Amino acid sequence: MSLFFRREKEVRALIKQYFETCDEALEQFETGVRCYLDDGPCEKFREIDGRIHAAESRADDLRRTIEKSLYSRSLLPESRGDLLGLLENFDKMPNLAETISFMLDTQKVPVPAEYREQMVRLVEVNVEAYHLVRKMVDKLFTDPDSVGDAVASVDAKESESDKLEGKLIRAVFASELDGCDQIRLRELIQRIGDLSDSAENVAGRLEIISLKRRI
Amino acid sequence: MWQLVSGAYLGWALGANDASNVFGTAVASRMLRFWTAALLCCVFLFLGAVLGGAAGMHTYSSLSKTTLNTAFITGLVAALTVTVMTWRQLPVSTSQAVVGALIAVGLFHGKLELGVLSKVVACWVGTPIGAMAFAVFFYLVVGRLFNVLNLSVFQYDFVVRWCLVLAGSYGAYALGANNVANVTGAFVGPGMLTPRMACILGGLSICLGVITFSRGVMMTVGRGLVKLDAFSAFIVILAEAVTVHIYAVVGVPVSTSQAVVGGVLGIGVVKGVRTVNRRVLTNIVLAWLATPVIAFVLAYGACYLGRAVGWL
Repeated sequence: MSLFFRREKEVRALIKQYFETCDEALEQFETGVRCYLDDGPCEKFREIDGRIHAAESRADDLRRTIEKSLYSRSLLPESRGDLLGLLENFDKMPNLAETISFMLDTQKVPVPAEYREQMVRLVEVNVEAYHLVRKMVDKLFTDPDSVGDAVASVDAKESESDKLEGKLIRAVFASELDGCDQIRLRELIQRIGDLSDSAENVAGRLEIISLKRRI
Repeated sequence: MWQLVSGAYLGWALGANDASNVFGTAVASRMLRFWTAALLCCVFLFLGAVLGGAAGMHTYSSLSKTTLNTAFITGLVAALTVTVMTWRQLPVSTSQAVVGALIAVGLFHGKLELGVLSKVVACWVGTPIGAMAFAVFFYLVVGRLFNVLNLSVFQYDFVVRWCLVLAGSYGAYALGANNVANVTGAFVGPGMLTPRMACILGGLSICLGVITFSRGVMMTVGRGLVKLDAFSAFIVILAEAVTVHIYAVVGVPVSTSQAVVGGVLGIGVVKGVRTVNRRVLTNIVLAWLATPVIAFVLAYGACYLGRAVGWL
């Protein structure tokens, strides 16, 4: 029995470490995109891209360790399923951060100066959606009754992101940019917007996990 | 002494089958190793048998007149009935099989206490209904307590797991106290065993069944209960344990399986969903009626045959 509860403690520590690693990936992502928008694909950006990739890799490793640990002999099946589902969905956000950064590094997507301000705002809104969901995750482990309070805020961020995306994409296709660049820019905008979509999905999942434990 | 073999066989079958009703969820969900669950089950089951099994012994010894040989027939017939019904995958009650056989033996000897019999049958009816009522009550009361505590995912998981272990241990105690009379109760009347000795031997034979053969049944029954959420599974086990314990105090051995079904139905009532499908319910009712009848027919036939060959 003591071994059993020790394993649970280990899982808790791993989960905490996993979310902190995701935070690092997203923090670097925001810095990286800002850097790219300011200076283009410079050396500093490549360094940040490397850090995003490293953090995402560590998060993946941690997630796999947690999965193995959860399947071996920890927690009730329903808690196990809920946590695995949460990690699987949450993981889409650091993955997106890495994908977007990789896209900027390899495709060197041109972002005209007139879109810079709106692009920065788009990144901010999506990272804010991530932070709101992170707070919900913390609440799940400390004060589950208040998890649902932040769902509306995440939805609002996702809506704001959708509006910004739409506005930007319309502007891009109305511009004189080369057709290929228009498509690359649209893809970049959509990928950034996907972050808040994922945040919204995770928020819904978190609310259900919390509600399932209300009897 | 050889007549005790049938009682030991019945005890073994009972342990193999009924341990799943108290620790199946914990083992099937892999929160407890089988051997940890089996050890807890054996300790509490044996304690229950020794400390609380005497009342059931008294009921069975006063239900009908038995000799050593008819006590042997009672145990053997009940064990065979349980085996056949288990093979047909019908939810069988050891208590009903034993009582069916005891009625046959009582009629054969011309001594059957109808007052005791009616008390036993009333308790059979009361078992699923009582467990259902307890499940509703516990779900509402304990559920409210859980909500007030506002437990985090890990805290909730920790508390529910411990609740499952504690309810399982209590269920094992209740199982031992209630069902040990099924195993060796028929041997108390003819004076072969004192009630205390019957409780000890009966408890040991049930424990043997738990250790040697309950693993597979625990996985099967446990997986069925795991389909409920863990909290509901805990409530079902608690309701079953309390119901069976009450009947142990009253002195009437009842079916833990039927108490579990009652508990699951109670969860359905409180959640407003159907937790047991119609086919399962039909099987339960059929088994409820068929078990004592089959045991009665087999036991009466065996007594008749025994007399024909000059053994009885």
